[in-house]
Amino acid sequence: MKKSTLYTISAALLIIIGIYWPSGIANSLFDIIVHIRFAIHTGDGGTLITDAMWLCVLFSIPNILIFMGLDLLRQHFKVLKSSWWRYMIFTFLFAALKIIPAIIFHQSIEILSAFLGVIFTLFLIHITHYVKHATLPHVIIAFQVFFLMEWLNVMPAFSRYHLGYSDISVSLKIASGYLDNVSTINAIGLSFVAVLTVSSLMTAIIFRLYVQNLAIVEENYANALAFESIQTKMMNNRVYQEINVLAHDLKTPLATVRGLSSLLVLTKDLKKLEDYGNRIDQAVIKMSDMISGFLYGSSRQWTEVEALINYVRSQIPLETDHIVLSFEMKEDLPPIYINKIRLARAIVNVISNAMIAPNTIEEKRIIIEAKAAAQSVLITIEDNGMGIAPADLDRIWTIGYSSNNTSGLGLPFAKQTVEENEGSITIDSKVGVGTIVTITIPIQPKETEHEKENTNH
Amino acid sequence: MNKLKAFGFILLGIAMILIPYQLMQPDDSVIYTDRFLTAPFDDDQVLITSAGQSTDTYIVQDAANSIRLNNLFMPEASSNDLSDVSAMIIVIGYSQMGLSLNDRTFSDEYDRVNSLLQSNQASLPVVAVYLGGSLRRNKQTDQLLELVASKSDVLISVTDTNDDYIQYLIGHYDLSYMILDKLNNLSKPLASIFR
Repeated sequence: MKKSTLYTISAALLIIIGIYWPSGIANSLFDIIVHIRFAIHTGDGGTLITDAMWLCVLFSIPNILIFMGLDLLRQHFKVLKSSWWRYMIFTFLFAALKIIPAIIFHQSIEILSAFLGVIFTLFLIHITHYVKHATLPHVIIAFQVFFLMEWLNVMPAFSRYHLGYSDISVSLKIASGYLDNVSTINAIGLSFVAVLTVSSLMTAIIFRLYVQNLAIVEENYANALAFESIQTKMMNNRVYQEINVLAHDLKTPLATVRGLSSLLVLTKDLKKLEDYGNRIDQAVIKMSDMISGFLYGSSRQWTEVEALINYVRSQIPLETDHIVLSFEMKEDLPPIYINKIRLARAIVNVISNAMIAPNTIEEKRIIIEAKAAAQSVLITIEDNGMGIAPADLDRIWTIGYSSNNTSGLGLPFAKQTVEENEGSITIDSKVGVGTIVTITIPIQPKETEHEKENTNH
Repeated sequence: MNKLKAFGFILLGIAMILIPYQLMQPDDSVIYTDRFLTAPFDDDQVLITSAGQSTDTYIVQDAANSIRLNNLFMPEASSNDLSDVSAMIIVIGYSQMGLSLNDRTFSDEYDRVNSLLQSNQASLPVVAVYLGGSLRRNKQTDQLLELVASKSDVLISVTDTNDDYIQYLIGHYDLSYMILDKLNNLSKPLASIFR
């Protein structure tokens, strides 16, 4: 069933039940009359109070039902924006649905309190500022308001304001006057009215705060999604930059192939031909490895640490007079299972960061060291720059964050790459002293001969 | 905050101040009568009946019992019930629920009361009691008031600052009357009317 049809049917049902309700509760009203007679006979004022409460419940229910039916229609037809004339039409329809059936079916109703109730309920709903479907809060508010309005009908104090002129309300008030119970009913009624007024106000205010918070959460969520999208685009751009570097790196072996190809044409020495062919083959393998390493980020091979460090050295931008790079490597380092091309680029990014970081002394020293640790190989990049403040350390891995007017993508790219190789990267820094970046690559057990054949020297 | 909300909050604030203040005001308290009965009525057996079938009839019954007034309580008394009574108290007040409980219409009730009053050949004293004030005033109650007052000797009512109609009935039908300040004082005028 379509949602619109369900809404319309539900609204119609609520309104029909609300219209028929006063006729349907005739026996309950007769019981109240009998109780009033009994209370007069026995002098029991408590019975009147109980009947007053029961009368309030019976008379508030049809008002709540008709209100909810109209409110459902209002929400369904999207007449949700607040305006004077929309509220007036709503009130007019409500009054018509109360008065016309009362005349036709000779029902006993309290129209003034119902009218006040619908106005106060609409006022509270207006406070909530809610413009989407909000059935439950409206039900809670309507129940409180219409119930408190019915108490005004049974309190003798409000008779002077033309409230409570239906047959049973009048009988109740006259009987309470005879039993000297007027002040008791007034006091109890006032308690209900005061508490329910405050409660209904608080319900509207709390719901409004909820709506405001919901709007803020939705806005924050949308902003977070947009920010994540921007970050993803930035990382994708970073990858394209790395591809540019790769394309640049491919020129070297291509130049080698071209040079050797031209020599092949010129020489007739078979030994030299074989040598040139082998070198061309190696250059092609190198290019293939570089391309595969980038195309298939998860593709890894057994690599000697020395080969990795040498590849890194070939990628580093030229040293200047004020930057001194030194490489230290321990002996007998075990091979590691990595994507050499991408991990090398990650290390180059870290070194580039160290190179551009400001320093307090004239000569910057950057030491790249590779050593073994428990079940892992540590590659540390240590510099004597200005260091990183502790507050910045927490944000240094955030995409887009930079303290040196760079893109802020290098370190996040490095971190992502190291973690893709099952490693970890940490930064230890002291302001005024320097920074140590430690890349930890776990030593994996060599499981098959096939994997050994993939070891790259 | 827009004008609608500001208006609503102002109204609410005024109501929350005025309502408790009004509730603390003392009720008007007036007792007066300047048309006394020349003599009390005989109290051998008084018929208490209703004109309109409101619950006010039971209040009069309870008040009568409290002063040990010998009474025959028949809310739907007919002309056949007048034989052994020395006076009538007719409690006026239209109640749709009361009539529906007895499966009667207003015209049935009017005819019954009219017949009862018309058949009062022995000119039994008739005391009209109206306790509804302005709350029970409507077209049907007014018709019953007019009917009963026209054949009554005494009218007992309650004070109601806007109820000029009762004053009209008293003047028009030259009735002796007693106006009560509080309903629970009903036994006093009954005691003074019936010996």
